[in-house]
Amino acid sequence: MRFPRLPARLSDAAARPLPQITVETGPTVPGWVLRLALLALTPALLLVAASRSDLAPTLVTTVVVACTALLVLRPTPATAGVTVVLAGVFLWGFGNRPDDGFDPAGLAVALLAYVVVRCTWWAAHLPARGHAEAAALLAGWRRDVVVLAATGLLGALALLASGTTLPGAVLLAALAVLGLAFAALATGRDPRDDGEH
Amino acid sequence: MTVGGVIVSDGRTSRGERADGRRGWQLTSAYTAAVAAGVVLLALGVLTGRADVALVGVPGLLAAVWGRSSQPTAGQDAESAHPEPRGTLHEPEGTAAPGQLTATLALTTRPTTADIVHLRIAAAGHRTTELALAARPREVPLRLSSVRTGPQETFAIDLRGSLHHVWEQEATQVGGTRRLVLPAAAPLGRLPLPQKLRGLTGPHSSRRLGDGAELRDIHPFSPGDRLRRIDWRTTARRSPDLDTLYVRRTYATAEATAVLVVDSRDDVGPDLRTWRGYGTLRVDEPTSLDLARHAAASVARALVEAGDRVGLEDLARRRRPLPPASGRRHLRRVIHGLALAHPKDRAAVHRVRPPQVPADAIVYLFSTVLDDEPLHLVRTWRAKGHPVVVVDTLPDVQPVPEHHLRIAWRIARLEREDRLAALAGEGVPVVGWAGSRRDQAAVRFEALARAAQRHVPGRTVLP
Repeated sequence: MRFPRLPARLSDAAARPLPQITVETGPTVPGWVLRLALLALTPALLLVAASRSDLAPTLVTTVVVACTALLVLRPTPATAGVTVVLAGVFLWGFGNRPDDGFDPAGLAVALLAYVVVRCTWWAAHLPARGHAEAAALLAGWRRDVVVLAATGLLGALALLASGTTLPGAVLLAALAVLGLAFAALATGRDPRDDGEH
Repeated sequence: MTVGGVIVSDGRTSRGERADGRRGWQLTSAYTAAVAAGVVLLALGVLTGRADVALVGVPGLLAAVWGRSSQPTAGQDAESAHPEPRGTLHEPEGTAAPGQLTATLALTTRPTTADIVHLRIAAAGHRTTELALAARPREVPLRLSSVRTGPQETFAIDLRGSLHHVWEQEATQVGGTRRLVLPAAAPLGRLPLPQKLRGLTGPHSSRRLGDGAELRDIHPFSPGDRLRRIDWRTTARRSPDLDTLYVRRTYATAEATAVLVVDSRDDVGPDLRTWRGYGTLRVDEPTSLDLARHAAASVARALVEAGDRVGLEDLARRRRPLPPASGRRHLRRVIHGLALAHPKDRAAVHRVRPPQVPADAIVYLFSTVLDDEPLHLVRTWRAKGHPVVVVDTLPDVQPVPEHHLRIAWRIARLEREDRLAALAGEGVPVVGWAGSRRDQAAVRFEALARAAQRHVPGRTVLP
């Protein structure tokens, strides 16, 4: 009995990855973990926002898949900004919601949006094969806590305002935050340069 | 365009520096994106009368404003041309051993300057490593995985600081120096030595009469014999009347001379695709020249520790061979010369005359035997009476999927096996040094030395 001659399949030993440079640091987190976090957080953000309104499932699914793919494959601050805006639009629901008052889910959406923006920044600055020191990931935790606490306080005020049927309070809170935004834009003129000349 | 006599493209000079000389911190697109998203959501919330929609953009906006307000301080002293955070690469002085190319990156920063330091560490033959570290004054140890010897490129590091995720520093470069990696020496036992020994002192017993320790015979006293060599017991036994005095005669001591000839005309690795200059040799696999350096350093160390004289000849260099000498200082010279051996242009041209070898010296030839030149050299040396040991330094070649390369290697391998068979047929010992044969090299050398001892008792002789 004759067997057909099989082509030789040789493993290419030279195709294996190059050796790594050993760097001694503290505990680190690989970059792909951050992208994995984005893969979970981005749908969570959009779905939580969309769950409070009666949007077409096709539209929601399309936006969720597109935003998740963009953020995981090409994480940039602009992509994260667009995703956060879309989450806000989903929360608004194009005015289709029966109840137009303050939705407490907005606090959860705001928290998730902040975490998604932070994860996107890290994913944009760290390739999947890179590593971030755990201490570096926790570098700004005090600022994050203060920012989220302030957001929660604002949300609580808005909730109280809507509960006491004072529509003017909602507008006042929005104007206050708008003023904050203008202050930020007014101070952001030219990039500061601390280097030598 | 040209600014001040310097060619500028896209606002930067040919060295990558900004043409306007500014170097420092800049606001990033993360700041712009956070502010823009926050304003859009606030506008949407105001227009729709929904505070919860406006709230979604608040944390990003607050963080951006916070980061914008806390600008990084200068962090630059008068002594340094670079703003903080900055890095300094500290490398050990002098030469290095294989697998021990290390350095320490010293980071200089302060808390108000940056909170995160981004590093991109590159090295020849290694994967580029990207890291984000917490910014604080620290030292980061770095190590390469290279087993190559000779002059080696080390680290090239791009360093950049960031603050509050909205400020980023322009990257600065920290470069390492080119370092010389000396070949290590494996312990070897006894080695084959030349048939004739030279000199008046040394670790070996020669055939001549002299002041050594090894007894040759008892001989009647003759003019020129020293009185202290008279063996009174033998004299009393053989000549009770003291008619004839008897002396103890011993062999003189001598030293052996060996010349290490390194065939550095080519430097090939296990990957056939790199043999014609295409591709890059891997740094975690020794090449033929690395094996030759290692083998030659091992032989040189064993000979010098035994008290013999060692010289070095590089086939790729036509001038300045290292003459035979002994001692640890000379051993360092030999190892340094081995580390500097490398292929040169036109080195593969046929030599009319083989390297000059001192009389009565044994030749250790470290070669891949990929052409006929080593065969020609060995025959010439043997015709002049020099024993030769060939150390085969061709690494174990890895199989390749390309058909034409497989055929080419099959032809080259058959020709090489013919040359090795011819050497073995002429009585030239060939010791392999690649792969698992390296572990057996010491045993093989010991066997050759013992075989020579059996041939002439008391001395070593090589065919």
